[in-house]
Amino acid sequence: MFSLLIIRFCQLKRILSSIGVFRSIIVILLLLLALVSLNYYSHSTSTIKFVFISYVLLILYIHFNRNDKAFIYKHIKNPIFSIFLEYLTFSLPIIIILTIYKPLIFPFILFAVLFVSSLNIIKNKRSRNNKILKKIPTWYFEWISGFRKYYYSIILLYFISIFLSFIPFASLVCSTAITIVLISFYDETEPRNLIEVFQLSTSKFLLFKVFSAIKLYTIIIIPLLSFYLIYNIAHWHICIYFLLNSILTVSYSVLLKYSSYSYQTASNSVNPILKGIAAVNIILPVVFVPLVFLLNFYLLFKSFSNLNPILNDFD
Amino acid sequence: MISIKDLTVAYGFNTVLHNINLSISSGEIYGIVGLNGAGKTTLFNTIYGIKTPLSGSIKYNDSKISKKDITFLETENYYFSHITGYEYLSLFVKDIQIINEWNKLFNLPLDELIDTYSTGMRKKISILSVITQKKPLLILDEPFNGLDLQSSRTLSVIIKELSKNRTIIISSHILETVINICSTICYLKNGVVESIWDKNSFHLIEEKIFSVLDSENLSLIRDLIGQKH
Repeated sequence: MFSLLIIRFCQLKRILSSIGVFRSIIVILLLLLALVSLNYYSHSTSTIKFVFISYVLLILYIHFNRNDKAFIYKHIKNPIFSIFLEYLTFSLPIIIILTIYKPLIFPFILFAVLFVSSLNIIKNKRSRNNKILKKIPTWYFEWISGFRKYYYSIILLYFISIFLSFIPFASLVCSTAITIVLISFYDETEPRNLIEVFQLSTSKFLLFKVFSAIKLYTIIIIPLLSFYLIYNIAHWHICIYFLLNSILTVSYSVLLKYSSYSYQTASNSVNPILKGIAAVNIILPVVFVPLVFLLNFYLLFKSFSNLNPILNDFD
Repeated sequence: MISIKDLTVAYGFNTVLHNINLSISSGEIYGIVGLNGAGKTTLFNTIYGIKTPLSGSIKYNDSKISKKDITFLETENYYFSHITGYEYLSLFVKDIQIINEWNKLFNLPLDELIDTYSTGMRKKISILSVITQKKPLLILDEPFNGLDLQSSRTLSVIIKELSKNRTIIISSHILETVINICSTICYLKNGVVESIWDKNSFHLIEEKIFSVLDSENLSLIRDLIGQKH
């Protein structure tokens, strides 16, 4: 009955160790921040209702999108109860906060989570292929893949960012979250043939990768900053600084991937500290900017020497 | 023509290929066979240029061989996640109609994510990505691994047809297939060219490879199953 929970805790431990200390701390801090905010705003009945509905929708979204349902139904005893227990365990802090302020909501939470857990919907294997994805040329495959992975999260954050444009800094926080998602597109390494397919020399290839990442990033982020500036024109210098720092981090993330590239393996052995610096630089831009700026040059040279044996014939 | 002269390749202090000399004519299907660890993949990586040799040279039509001339299918392939078959292939072939025409041979669900493909389907999409490229030299490292009977047969026919205007170097553990499609076969053993056979002497291959292996193993096998006399 608890085997699924044990598996989840082992996976969680592995994820935290793979993303490194910096990112783990950031994730935990963000979760704590979200819980503190939830606790702060959960005094009124209307807010609790809103949080309850959002919570159920979130569980439904996760349940619909998870790919392990077939595995659980085949190998785990009492699959529905195991899934139910899993959802309750991982959302315990939210349930506690909601129950403290409105104890009567507890049976509704149990019923809703049990209902969602009992749904055995297997997702269609056909890929998500909408108009936005079709417009991205295939040579930006990192972006197609990334958008497909985080499509709803990005769209949700994007609209929240637009709707909160009138509140100082709120939209920038959403843009920061979007930036973190977008730079994660470069966490995955491509096979050798997807590097050679462009038939570019090492320097041209790196320039192409960095500039295309910056181009796509600015296309996405500039509308958000423009909306923000409509309501907060006095913050124009913050927006410019945000944009320049983000561009620097996007370039850093692309070069970081190729600096540790190996054609023999699918896994990327990027130094977790260097990986963490990218995320920290987005959240705490002032402190890390000089370091990220200098590291860009270091990673450029490292990527060049790393990719040269693969691309040397395309000069 | 590919000319490999005195090629020696090492990983650190471990020399994997010793003084390899091979000559591969244009339009030939050249088979490389050998046990695991014999050095087949290292030889391919060196011909392709992603492994630097300690000494020796590899020339294509009397000039230094270049990746621009070669398409290389590796044994193990991995793919970028959340990419459909169409998206992957369109990186190599711009015309979607050409992709669809080639796919009639393998019937892959190209609008689905490659992540959902079986091992055989993944092999097929890798094969499609290399055979649709028009470079004069094709290196296929274990292309039949994971393919079903029908697809193996289809691939054999494709390789034979492609050899009309390309040079193909192929490795496989399925001796029967290699014998069927290759015009020359080279047997690598512990990084050394043990034998080279042309079509007329293919009947000697099985005897050469398997008689040694069988005699080496038979005594041990009998020991293990308790039938030693």
